[in-house]
Amino acid sequence: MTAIVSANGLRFGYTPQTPTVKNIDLNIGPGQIYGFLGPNGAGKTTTIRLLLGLLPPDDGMVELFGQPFAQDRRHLFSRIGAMIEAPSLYEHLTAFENLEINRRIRKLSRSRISEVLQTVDLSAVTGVKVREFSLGMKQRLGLAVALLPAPELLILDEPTNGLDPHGIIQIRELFQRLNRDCGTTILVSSHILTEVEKLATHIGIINEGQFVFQGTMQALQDLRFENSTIDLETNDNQAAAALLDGRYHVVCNTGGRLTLRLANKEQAAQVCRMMCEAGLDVYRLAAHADDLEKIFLQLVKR
Amino acid sequence: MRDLTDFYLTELIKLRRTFALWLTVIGAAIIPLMLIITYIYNWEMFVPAAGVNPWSELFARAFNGIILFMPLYIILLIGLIFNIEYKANAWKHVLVLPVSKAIIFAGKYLLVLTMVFAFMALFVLFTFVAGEILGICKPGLNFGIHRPEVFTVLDFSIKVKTAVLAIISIHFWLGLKVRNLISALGVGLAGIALAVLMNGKGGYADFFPYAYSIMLLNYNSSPDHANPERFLLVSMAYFLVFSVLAFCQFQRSFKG
Repeated sequence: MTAIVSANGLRFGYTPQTPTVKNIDLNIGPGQIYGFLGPNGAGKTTTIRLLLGLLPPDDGMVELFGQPFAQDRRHLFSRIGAMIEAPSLYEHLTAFENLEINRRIRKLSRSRISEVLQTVDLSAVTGVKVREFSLGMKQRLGLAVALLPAPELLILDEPTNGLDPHGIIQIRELFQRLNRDCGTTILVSSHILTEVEKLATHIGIINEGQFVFQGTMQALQDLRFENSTIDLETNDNQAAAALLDGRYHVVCNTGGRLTLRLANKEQAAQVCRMMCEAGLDVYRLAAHADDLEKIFLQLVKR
Repeated sequence: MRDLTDFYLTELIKLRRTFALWLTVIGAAIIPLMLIITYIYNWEMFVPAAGVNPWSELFARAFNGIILFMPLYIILLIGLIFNIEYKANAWKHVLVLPVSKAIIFAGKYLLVLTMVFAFMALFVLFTFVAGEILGICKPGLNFGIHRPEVFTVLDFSIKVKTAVLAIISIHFWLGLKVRNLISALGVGLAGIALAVLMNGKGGYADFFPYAYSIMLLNYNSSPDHANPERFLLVSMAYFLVFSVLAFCQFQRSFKG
């Protein structure tokens, strides 16, 4: 199946001495919600600009819908909706006029404007100048501009900036609906893991211009159980410790509680089965996995 | 062609409620308004001799005012038009719209040329209205008896527009290179100051773009002016060179 976004060996530096993006390989398949994560200054926006052809790469190549940019730029961009960094809005114009500019260039029907305004819950302020808008309203209008062409690919750089928790949930639900109902492929960047983990099917974590993790959301979840620990409490902890000795790494055996280090989540089930087969009563079996936030911070070494 | 028309229309939408639009209308009205005030307060000074067309003197005075004001207007206009995109941080969005870069460039350029044309047309219209108002307020000035010399007005309008083509192209190119409105304005003001110091055509001034409109000072449509003068041809050459430079800059390295 043709990748919707494909980048190979992408390199770019604003100055030759300091590369901002180093050897990025990226493949986003149809229907994926790709969470592009990284701390501030990691190279997310620069990568997105490279993907959209706003910056020329020093090396490597980008293909969208299986085509390089030079081939049919007009057709390619008609299939893409994008919001890069802060929304690009003309503050002296109304919400309607901002959308009208995009509608005319994209040659869409007038009804699309009211549809997208309704989608982002801005129907009531269609005639209000954007300079009167709050940060969250501007963000939603920026999304409306990106959604206007009913794009097959939506590229959004930190789309929930400035939104309140309710707004964030609304936008997340909107993305999920677009992905589910219209099959829209979404690339969404953020520096906040919790924001992306509830939405993305695939994750790429970038740090200092290169990927430190790429894979499915499940693969990232599985990292939580690498080197995790469990607390075990039985009716005879000494017997339990003797049983585990040599097979598992017992970290601590004090206060009527055993702490074991596990290599994966399957080992927790094995320990439980072993205790039951030995006739020991298990009072407590509590897994302590790293949360995703901690894994993210470890990956970006913060 | 439809792409260009649609893009051009969106450029007109962007001008709504902007200072650039007001500058075009109010800027074109300033000189005719000042002439009305001057003529009404000192009307005895302007009573023409018998048989003399008062419109000629009115337009000559208006022309002398506009040639000094027009370069400043163009520099401000182009800076303000580019500032609409820079202020909204919108270049990155414009450049990912399904339209070629050539259309974006042509649409913007066409907008600037339209506004300069509209400014000149409004200026001529307002000057005519000023004459009509003076004819009603002060019948002794004889504006009601005579009519304006259409050929002179048209000839001047074409020449002044040709003279400012060089500044238009230079500042369009500058607008793509320099994000800062003040810097472009500074370059323009320095150019105008130097042009005033050069004082008249001939010599190096013929190759100094900011001096061209000033060279039309005390314009009269004598046979001398029937053929294009050297500075007008040089202005057209500047226009071609800087338009190509601006297009190459926009196509190759402009990042917004």
